[in-house]
Amino acid sequence: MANRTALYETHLALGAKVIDFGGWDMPVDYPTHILQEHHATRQNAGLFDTGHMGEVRVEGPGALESLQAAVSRDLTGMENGQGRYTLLCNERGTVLDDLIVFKQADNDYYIVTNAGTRLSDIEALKSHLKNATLRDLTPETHKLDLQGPKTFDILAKLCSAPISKLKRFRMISAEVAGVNAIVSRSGYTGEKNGVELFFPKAEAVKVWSALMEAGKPFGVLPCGLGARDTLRLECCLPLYGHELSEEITPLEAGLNWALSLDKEFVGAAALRAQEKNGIPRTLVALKFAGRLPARAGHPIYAGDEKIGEVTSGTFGPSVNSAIALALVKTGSAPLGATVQAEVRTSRIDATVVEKPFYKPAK
Amino acid sequence: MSEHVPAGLKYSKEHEWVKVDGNVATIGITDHAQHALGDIVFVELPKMGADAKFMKPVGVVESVKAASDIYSPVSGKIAAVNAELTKAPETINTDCYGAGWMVKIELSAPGELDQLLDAAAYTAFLATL
Repeated sequence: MANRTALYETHLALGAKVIDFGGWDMPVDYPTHILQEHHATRQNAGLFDTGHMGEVRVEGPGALESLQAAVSRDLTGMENGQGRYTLLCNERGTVLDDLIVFKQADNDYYIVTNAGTRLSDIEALKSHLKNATLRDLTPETHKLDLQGPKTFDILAKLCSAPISKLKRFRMISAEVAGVNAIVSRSGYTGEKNGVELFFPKAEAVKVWSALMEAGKPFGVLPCGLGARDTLRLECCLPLYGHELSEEITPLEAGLNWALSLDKEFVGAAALRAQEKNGIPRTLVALKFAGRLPARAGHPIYAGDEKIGEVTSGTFGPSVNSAIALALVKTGSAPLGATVQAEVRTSRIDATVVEKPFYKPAK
Repeated sequence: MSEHVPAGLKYSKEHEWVKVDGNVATIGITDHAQHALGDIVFVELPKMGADAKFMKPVGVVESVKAASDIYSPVSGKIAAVNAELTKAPETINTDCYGAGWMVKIELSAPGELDQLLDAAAYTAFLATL
């Protein structure tokens, strides 16, 4: 049977449509539907159940060294509470998952994983542990994301800690609605203001209800995975299984900034070789003139030549047109070029544009 | 959530509705279908004069989430398409039984209508989903 978060019944009571995502029964949208949920997040705030995601703690005198050998990004020089987006690769230099690694204290790291890849991530991380232990905190942890310009107004009603002063990708311990939580200024919507909250699973309904209640005057809406996808795609944030997979290298996905190729980690040699010998494919952002979305797997053409395919495509509510990310042959689709996506029987024009499609205001 | 099922229409189990007027059937998707699809952003409709076949795809609706076929609940020739939907596909969400109609079909096999559900039978069918 599929996994369910502690809020499954809450979602059903709200009239959510539930789908399978990474082995979890998750709300894809509520009766408000994706567009309204998307706009609520951009204009006010959106509350997302992300209890399906994984949390792992790596502790011990060898924690840093162990993680350094496993993940793509240099983790030295981090302050306590600081987080870094990083990748977990295989020897071929393709991607097993993307992670956020927070340094809680010296020798103590808190790692956030995707849902469907959590168990394989843990296996991969464990194989590098030296003088360190790993504990899967997922079964006892709930995670909620509050995202959008009203995030800090809402939190201020439930939390006395100065969360609005937190820098991006920093976490602190704070009491939220009377519950001990880790609050991290981060998220997956591209919004400048947003937090991810980690707290004991038994408190999930309490914290969700408190945030909904406190958020009511600010126009908060519960948002499903559908809006999470349109929000992240407008801001060109990669999704595992689409822009990241064991068939794609981070260099192809344009995630060079998440690679520290001057240190040793699994896949570093393969990635250095690819960087030297040429990166065969490039992830490009495509904007369509109309509203017909090309979807993952649809082919992309430059004239008669098939140059690649769409990795993610949708209608972008804040850009008011169809948008897509596509993995294409390097050099075949420069900025400003017109390419065609094949959607069923027709080919539709798209322009290669700068990433991201949408930049949230302050 | 109660979904609107007007009396006097015929329904398919793929969630299309049919309104028969003489030899012409007007086709659209039901309230259940538009709710399940969510926000509709694009509609692909057949050409005038094209042949529609009983329970074969006659068009496509794209919601933010995904593309879904529309099945023709009758056979015949396309006599009219609702061009307004090209500009305002969301009309299907707001008025699926009215301004959100999709095509009109000149019936070639009116007997097929007997295979469709009436409002009561469709309501009962929805309850089983």
